[in-house]
Amino acid sequence: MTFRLVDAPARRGQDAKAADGVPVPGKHRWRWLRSWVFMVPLLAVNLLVIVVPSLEAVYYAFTNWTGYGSAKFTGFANFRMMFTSGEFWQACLHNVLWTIFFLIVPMAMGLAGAFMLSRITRFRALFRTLYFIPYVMATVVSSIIWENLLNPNGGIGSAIGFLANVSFFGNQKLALPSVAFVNNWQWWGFLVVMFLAAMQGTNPMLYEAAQIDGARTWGQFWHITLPSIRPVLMFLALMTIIWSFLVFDYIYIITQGGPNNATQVVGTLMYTEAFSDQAAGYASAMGLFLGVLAIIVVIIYTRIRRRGWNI
Amino acid sequence: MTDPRSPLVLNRRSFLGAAGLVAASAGIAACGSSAGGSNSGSDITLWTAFTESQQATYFNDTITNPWNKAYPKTPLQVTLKPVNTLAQLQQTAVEAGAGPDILGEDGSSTVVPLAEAKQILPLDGYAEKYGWRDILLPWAFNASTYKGKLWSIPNAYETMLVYYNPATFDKYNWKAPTTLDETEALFEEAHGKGIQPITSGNAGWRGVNEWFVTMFWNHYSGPDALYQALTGQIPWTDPVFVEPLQILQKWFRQGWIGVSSQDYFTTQFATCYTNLASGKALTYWSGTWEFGSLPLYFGAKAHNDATWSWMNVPQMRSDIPPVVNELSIGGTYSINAQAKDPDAVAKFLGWYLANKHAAVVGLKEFGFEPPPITLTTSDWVPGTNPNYSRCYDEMAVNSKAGNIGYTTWTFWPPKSDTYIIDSMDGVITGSSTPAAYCAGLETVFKAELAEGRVPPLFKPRAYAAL
Repeated sequence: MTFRLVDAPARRGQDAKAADGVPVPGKHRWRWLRSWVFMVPLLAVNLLVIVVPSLEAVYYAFTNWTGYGSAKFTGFANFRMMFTSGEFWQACLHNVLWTIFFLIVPMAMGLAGAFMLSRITRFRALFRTLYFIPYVMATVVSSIIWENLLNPNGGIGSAIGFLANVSFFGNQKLALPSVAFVNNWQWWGFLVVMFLAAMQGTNPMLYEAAQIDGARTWGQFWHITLPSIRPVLMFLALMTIIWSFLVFDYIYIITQGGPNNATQVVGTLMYTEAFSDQAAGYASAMGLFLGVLAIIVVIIYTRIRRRGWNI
Repeated sequence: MTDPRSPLVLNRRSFLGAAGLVAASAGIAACGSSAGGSNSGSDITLWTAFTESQQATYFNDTITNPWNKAYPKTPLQVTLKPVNTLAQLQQTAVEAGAGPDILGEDGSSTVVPLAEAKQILPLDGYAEKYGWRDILLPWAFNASTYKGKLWSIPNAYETMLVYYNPATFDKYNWKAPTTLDETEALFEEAHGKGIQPITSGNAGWRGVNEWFVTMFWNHYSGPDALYQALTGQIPWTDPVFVEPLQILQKWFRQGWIGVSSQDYFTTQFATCYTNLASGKALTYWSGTWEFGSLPLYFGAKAHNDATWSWMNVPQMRSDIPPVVNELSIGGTYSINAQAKDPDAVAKFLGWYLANKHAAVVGLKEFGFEPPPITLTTSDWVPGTNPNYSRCYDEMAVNSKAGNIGYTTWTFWPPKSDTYIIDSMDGVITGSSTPAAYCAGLETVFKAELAEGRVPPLFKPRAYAAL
């Protein structure tokens, strides 16, 4: 793959020319150098914190590394152990459920919220800010707030009769959706802002034409709004899938994977293996599995785009 | 038409070349910083974490400043790190061939991989030079060895206790139970009166599960059976380990521990302390680390007139000692193999272990667990809470008598320990049986035993003669 500077000359040796047609070789060298100066910090960061650790993780996935000292090559042993582990597949299932939840609930809420905001002019900025505030809160803060709010001893549940004895994070069936609810509380406002920004790019004349043709609100949303924001929608769906498989923070803070592994996802399991079980090689294998999944999702997305879908 | 070799085009080769240059530059920069960075000179470096600023002041006043005054050429440089990430930060630094000179670990089991990776230095020569074998309690010295060598010195030791509010007992004229039958009768009665027999919850720390496993195994199965299992002589599926967990499961099912299993999974430590202080709960089963936090919920500081005390975990079977202190090393110090001046670090560790004053002041002021050194009644600072001093006085007696047991987080290998914590949820909820739990542990433990990952053990009663 070749990247080309926007205003670079088309052919090697063909230097740019000044207005009078005389080549100015130094000017292009300077541009080339300047572009690299801007690239170097990003490259350095990517190399040091992404590329090198990623390559190391690939290597360690094939070893019995404990997280300390040297590692011994063990071939596919970690992968065999991983694919035959019920705990791992249970965690994967939770990731899948998490992904389905986040592809549906916050997306629907975000679209609905953005569409409603796009129909009003007064207080739009206020609502946009209010929806966005949870997104800028630290994960640990919002986790603790909701942990207390949903605590059966003294939370809002104890104040509302029919929720008095509901233990949202202690009940095995409720724990995963409850943590997802908390994460969604932070996430959906971000989606509102993203979708709203995309919706504002829609040509208003389309809505006017639709109204003249008798289209109702739902029809306008379905036939005008959705198609016009499809690239943003698909991009966020893609990122949602990737992020859902990497989820860690809310679950680790609120339930630590419990009770009885009801909220265990691959991210939390990986952390436990690496830092509690001293099985960093095995944890690397899980990380590699997640990485491959993310690559597959991106490849599918790219293929779909190449086939000409307008996303 | 574009020529991909154009010097003005960012192609794969120039990209990789530049990337290599960046990496090389970064590597050189990193080398430079480690050679001439903040670790220059003969400072002794230590990374640690405190939950309150007063604790940092205490550490400065009783350890850092006195040492720096006495040995100004090798001053102690303490760097504060976040409590939750200290271990990971240190592990990463050590793996990179850096890190502080003194490596603090949670216990002797986490020292083993460091020793195996040769990232810490053996301390036997220093132990002899500074007399650590005489200073440390024998079991603690032994538990700090691995494959015949000493790799760390313990800086805290702990045991399990049953905390209670004397006013609650006095109100109903109840006495502290000493046997399983007495305990169950008391809990039955208390539960009938709407008092929670044991307030507990693992929302703040999932490891609370293993506190119960530790207590039930030490006080029902007994230290001898545990020693045999930990050395592979008997399996974990032996009824002596299954039966106590059946009792524990029954207690959960009856609502004696937490209100219900669901409540147990969502209850924080602060709720437990409050329940005990208010009389809502009869007891709280935990360890000596609570000295640092539980008292804050009692008395003037908490705007109530409640008091607290502790009793020993009851004897649950007649053929084990009436009192057993399951012992644990709560923290260790080792010398980083990369330390610039290991001799100076060892000298500091020797000074630290001999510094009884810091240990007893830490206990008095903050409830810090002291290192496992011989502390007698005369050592306590005036004003020390008698609940603290009585505990450590009795631990010294029980240690000498050999009535000591094992905590799962110190003496079980890492995967077995994780299994004990995580899989206990199933026993608590009733979705798994104690027999299945023990069978699962047997599988995990056997593999780790074969790999030689079981931490060093002391033999029960072996230290009675020492």
